[in-house]
Amino acid sequence: MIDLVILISLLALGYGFGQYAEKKHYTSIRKRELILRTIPVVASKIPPQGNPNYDSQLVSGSVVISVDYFKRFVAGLRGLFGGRITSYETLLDRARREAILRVKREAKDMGAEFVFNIKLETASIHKGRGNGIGSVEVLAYGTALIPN
Amino acid sequence: MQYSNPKIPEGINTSKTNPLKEFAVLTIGVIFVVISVLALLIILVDLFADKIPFQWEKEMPIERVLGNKDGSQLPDYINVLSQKVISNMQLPDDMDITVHYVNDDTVNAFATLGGHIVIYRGLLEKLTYEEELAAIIAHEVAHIKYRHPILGASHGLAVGLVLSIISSSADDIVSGLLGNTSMITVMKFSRDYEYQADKEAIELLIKIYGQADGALGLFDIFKSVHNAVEPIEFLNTHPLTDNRIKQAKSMIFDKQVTNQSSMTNFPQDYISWLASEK
Amino acid sequence: MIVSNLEIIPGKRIQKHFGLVQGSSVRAKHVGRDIMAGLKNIFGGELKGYTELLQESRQEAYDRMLDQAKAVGANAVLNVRFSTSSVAAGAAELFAYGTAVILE
Repeated sequence: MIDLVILISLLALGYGFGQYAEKKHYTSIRKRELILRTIPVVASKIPPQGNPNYDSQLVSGSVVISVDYFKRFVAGLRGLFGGRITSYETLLDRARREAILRVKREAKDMGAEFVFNIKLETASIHKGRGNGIGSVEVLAYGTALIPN
Repeated sequence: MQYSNPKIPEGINTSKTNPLKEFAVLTIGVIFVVISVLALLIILVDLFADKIPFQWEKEMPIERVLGNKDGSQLPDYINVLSQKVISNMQLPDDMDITVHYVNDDTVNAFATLGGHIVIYRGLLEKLTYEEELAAIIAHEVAHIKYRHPILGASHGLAVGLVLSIISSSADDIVSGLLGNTSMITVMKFSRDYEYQADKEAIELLIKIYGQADGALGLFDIFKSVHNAVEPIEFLNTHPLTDNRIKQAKSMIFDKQVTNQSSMTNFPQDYISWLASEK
Repeated sequence: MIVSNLEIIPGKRIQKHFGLVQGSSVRAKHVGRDIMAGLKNIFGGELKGYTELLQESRQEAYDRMLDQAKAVGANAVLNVRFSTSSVAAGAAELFAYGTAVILE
């Protein structure tokens, strides 16, 4: 009986704080995307042709985001039935957008105009109990082109 | 060559599901599926488990594990009473019952594989009438008559096997949920067995003594021993005592038992023996 | 829609870049596939269940990337890259990204 009470409390805590943190993060992400809209980020390698000289500099941004108890529980149940793990989708979406925003921030601070050849890496840090997800790291890196 | 940075719409890489709804659907789904699958498995196992010959149960070295470690001897009075009960219960020919007595405070009695019944001193001390002791013996013998020990053991084995296969691919939290759900399912069958054994005991009391007040007296003793509120029924291996009383009273009413004579007291030498065992 | 992991498509000119588009999908296997995989660990052979699962997942990630490209008005996605990462035991994230462009 006491196990059930503990489980429900953890789930409630996870849900409450998790949803709050997610909403806050998304608001922050959208705001910063609006501000940093001036710097395009492309996956292409070939820099713009017929253009003034650019200084190039490698820039990177990374973030580690952890998952809450509620998401972990729902994902565990999904692991029995199969299908899309919607709780992790938002986690990874947030992490990726945050990493790219950090790249743009670093590029903007250098006075860059573009970031080229952006690449993304995802890794699972700290697998958590029973090989479940603990936290996820996303690294984004590219070449910033600074007009001189 | 223009470089623009348009706003990409939200929601392409995420799904618009309400997390609480998904949680509810998945959890209820898992519980429902697990209970159905395990209940089906147990019913299937029951088809084969009672075909296991009683002789095989007897070959298990159970007596070494049971009481009588301190050499307590079963008093003649209980021996004679047990024989009287057993002879009135229409057991199969090859089924022999061995009654053990353990000199311990525990208020309990149980039946296990091989036809062994164990009664603790703690329980004996709570009884006032012979009919109550007869009810206990009859209840435990009924468990053996219907092969409940081997059925229960088979359930545990089958469910444990299936659970370990499923749990190997699930994480800790979900394994806990699966374990608890399977326990609840097995307990339901265990409660049905208790009702079945109670029924036999009451029929036996009516047969020998003409009334079943011994069973009612026994349930009152259980209630007083539990004193606090009993836990929720579906989390328990035994039915709520009130429900057992209900079944007993309804059986007494159906069989129109009207004998109002008072119950038999224990013989004096038994009472002295019990006092000296402390 | 032209989708390619080339930088430049022969015979076509890039008129406009729209930046990065990405598609991702996180899927879990179910118990049945897992038990089969466990057995295959003894007997060997292709894990068809998992192969199918990852193919479906990759297709979904790919389709989502194209959805993003269409949403910004592109008609091609260049420099496409795929990435697979294991985020939890039994769950993999499939990720596809590239540059959305208008080709003429």
